[in-house]
Amino acid sequence: MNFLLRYGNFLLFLVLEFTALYMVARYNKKQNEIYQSSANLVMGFVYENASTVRNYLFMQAVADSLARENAELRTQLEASKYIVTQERGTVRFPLDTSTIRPDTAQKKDVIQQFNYIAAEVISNSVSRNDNYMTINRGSNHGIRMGMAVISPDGIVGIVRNVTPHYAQVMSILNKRISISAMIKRNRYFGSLTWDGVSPRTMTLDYIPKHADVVRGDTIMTSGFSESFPGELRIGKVVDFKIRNGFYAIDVELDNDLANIRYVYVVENLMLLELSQFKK
Amino acid sequence: MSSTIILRNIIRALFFLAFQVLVLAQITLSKEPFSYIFIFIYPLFLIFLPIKIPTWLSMLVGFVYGFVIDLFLNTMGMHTATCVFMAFIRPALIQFLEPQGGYKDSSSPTRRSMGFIWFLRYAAIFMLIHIFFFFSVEEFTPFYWRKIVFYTIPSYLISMVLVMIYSFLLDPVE
Repeated sequence: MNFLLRYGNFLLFLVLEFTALYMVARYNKKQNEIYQSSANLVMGFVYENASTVRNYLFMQAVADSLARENAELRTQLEASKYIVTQERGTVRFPLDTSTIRPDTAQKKDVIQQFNYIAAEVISNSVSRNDNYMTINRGSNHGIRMGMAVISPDGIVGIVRNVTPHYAQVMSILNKRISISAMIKRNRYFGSLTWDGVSPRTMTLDYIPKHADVVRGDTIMTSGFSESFPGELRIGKVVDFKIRNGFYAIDVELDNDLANIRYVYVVENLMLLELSQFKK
Repeated sequence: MSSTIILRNIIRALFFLAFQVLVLAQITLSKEPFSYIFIFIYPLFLIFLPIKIPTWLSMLVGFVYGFVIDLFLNTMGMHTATCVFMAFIRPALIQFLEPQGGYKDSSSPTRRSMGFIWFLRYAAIFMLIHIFFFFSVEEFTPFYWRKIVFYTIPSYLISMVLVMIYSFLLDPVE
């Protein structure tokens, strides 16, 4: 009652005014058109902004699902398969490559060699001599010690410790790491290490002196290690010098580990078989 | 409120209604810069409502009054919305212009009762808001504010001249 006394006039004003404006919009052609179009304008504005907000809120979920999908797509890549079909045929000299390289996409029989598990980095460091990161996937998701970790632009590290829900990854920015890598152009391979200086630069050692190296050469994984699939791009040559009879090549990494977020853990399904030779 | 005042206001309402609808609405200024001049006389009824009339009553009266004008002028809701709005803000305007010593009960704010200067200010402000609000409703979108201002000014000036003529020729006592 008190409320009515105080705001009664205003409420009555609102009722009468909106009745009148309703009549204006309802019974006059020109004003009705304006009302319709501005209603559309306002609703369009509201819908558009609501969808922006919604997109923002669901960005995390979208990113997660994209990472998962990427992992699945990587799994389906030819590089993740072990080629079963044996290539037989007469090899003539001079070598005719067409006879030993049939159309790979159609004729080869393959079995899966690499699986990819998407994970998110939840802690990371690049400033110490021995850097580690933690990812939010663990043994429950099939992650085992020694698996390689890669990112869309390059390599990331090797799984060191595994708990049911998390895994600790030894970053490539770690003085104890050594990864088999090769120059893409001529397939000379060496060992990639980190000297602890810059988080964007690693050193490729043991490339023989007779190999020809030029600045800008692409460095990729060799595929000789048990963990990393072959032919993953790592970075490019920025500088090189001779040390102890071998090239020591400075490699600028393609990926920046200082702001990495999504990674893929590589599961090598042939690992057990490959490790037979190490005994 | 005595029945004389009620009767006087009803007669006044009918008079302004007839004057607006039968005389002024028939005048069309078709020459280009004046083609949208609308001469307002009917707001004088709202201007002359008793000072102490309750706001709810003046809004209801304004609603009915504006609605009848809309019916005749075929402008459904536009004058109604304006009259309701003016009835709603009228107490604030009267309070704003309150002379020293306050108002006498039940008197209408006329030139004779309040003095020429006071009445001129009151009517000028009232008519300006009324006409501006009407053209705003008429355009129905703030995008055309230039057009609204362009329509308001000439209509306002001519209407004010008429209001002043009326208040001198037929000056109501209260």
